[in-house]
Amino acid sequence: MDMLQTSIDGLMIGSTYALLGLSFALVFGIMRRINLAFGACLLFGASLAIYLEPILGWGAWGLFFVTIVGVALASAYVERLCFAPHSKRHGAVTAMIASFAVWMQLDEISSQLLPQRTHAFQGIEVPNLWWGEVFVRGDQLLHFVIALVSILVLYLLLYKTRLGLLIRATADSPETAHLLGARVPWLGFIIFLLAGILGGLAAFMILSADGYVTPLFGLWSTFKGLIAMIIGGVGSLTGAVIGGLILGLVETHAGAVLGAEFRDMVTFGLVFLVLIIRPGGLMGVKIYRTDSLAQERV
Amino acid sequence: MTYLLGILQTIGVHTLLGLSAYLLLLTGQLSLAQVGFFAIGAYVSGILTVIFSWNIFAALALGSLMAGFFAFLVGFPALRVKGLMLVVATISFSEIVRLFFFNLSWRVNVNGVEVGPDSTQGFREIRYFAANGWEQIHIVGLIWFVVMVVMLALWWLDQVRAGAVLRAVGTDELAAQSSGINLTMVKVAAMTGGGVIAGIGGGLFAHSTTYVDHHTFVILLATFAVSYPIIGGLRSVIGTLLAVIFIQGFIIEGLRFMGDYRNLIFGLLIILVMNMRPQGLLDGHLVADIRKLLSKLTKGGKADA
Repeated sequence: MDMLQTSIDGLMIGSTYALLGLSFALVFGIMRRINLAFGACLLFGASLAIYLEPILGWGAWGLFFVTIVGVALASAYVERLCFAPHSKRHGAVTAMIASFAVWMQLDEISSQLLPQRTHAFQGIEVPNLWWGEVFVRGDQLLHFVIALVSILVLYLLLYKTRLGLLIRATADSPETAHLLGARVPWLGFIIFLLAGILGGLAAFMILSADGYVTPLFGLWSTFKGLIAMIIGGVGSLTGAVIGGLILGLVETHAGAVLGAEFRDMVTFGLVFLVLIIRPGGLMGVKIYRTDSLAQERV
Repeated sequence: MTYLLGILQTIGVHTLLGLSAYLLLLTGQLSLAQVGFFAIGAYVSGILTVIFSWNIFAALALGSLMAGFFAFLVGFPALRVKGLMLVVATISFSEIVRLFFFNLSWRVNVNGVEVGPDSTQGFREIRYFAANGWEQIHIVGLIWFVVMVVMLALWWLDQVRAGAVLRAVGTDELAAQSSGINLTMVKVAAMTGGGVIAGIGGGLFAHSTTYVDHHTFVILLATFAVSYPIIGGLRSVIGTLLAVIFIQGFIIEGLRFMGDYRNLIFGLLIILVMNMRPQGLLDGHLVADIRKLLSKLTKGGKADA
């Protein structure tokens, strides 16, 4: 019974990790860039939401919208400043260092907005559920559903619309897409906005489930997104979702069996192993083999 | 004076970190594992002087060797992956090391006082320098002596075949491999060398601050470490030193009067540098220009005489 309960908890947390992984995979898989400022964007959105909350007075829904808008704005800012000027193939390192600089900036703005270390973060009130002996938190179930819906929407957007076609073409080969008339720099901007919206959604869900926000949240979410994407498979969006769910399951089980202090060590160990044994991740092996990205040096 | 020496101390330790990343960047590998090696060096040498009462030089040597050994162990599997995937693999290594020391509790009674790493409370009482009558100027001298030795060694490396081999791997792996260079060996050697340099830096850092904990060794520090050589430029070791002085001396210390807004300016300045000089402050052209200028000056001097 404990196993089942732990697994359900893991899946619930995993669904938010899946969103983090997805927004990382959008940037890494399509643009071939690591955005070190990702977590800082999330922290900025959450800080902005808490800062504006007493002014707007919209309660939990206000936090919801402002977080998403704030993260999307920060994400767009990062793209314009760090990634648009270094869109050439050899610009990966330069862009990464630039995003490191923006990380420092956004962290500073966030700590200006939230002077105390811990702030309460209000969630949407939903009654909890009991199925026999299995307990499910109502808000986490709602988050699970929101995560599933947004993954579905992203899927439809990427595979059923013209914009999605353009994005996938750019992912395949930016040069060819450009020659055939796609506005590649503009698409980069759109991808960062999309990643920002997904990240904002995930930030709201994680923070409202925890009930508070601290400055450590930024780097924490960068790691979770990165791990989910790597375990699932680089460049594969399905992989990122599965990776997020696996990460949630592994974390809760490792925490239950070995204790909280070894939980993170187990997950990082898993990442290291996955990278060495199956460098492309669980789902991304085929992409890894055909993709020159994996063979490229920085 | 103490303040100035403190800055020199920070610049020295960060230069060692930067140089350890520089050595690996020459082979085209971007690694964020440097902070893991740094942590190993700091904890191992700290434990040796505090718990086992070793001499500082022996402790520093063994600490850096341990860091190098771990770099060697990690190098083999990690260097199978390249590019951005290597960045991720090395991030996870650094985090594993940090979490290990986060959980490490090894309290020992030495001369009636309980000392040693105390998991979340950090590792205090690394008081070798104070206990043996070293003054701050001696500590700074030791740090800069090590920095000079490492810089000279790396400069010398560029004058001999080994440096050419490293740069060949960094410029074009396929071409390097076709001319008979063992890629794995070169990369693992660079990783090990970087580990040794970071390890000695960590040992010096732990002893000069007398206190380390897991917060010191977050991935942010590793990002700083790779930023220095990239911002400074990979043409010459001087570039890394310049970048450390620029960031630690000018931006972080020089702009301290700006208070909380310093980090905003910090970000802006680095982005400006990266956008205007993507090859680093000291790029190939500038190095060539300086060489020309130097040779003109020396020739001019001879003509005058």
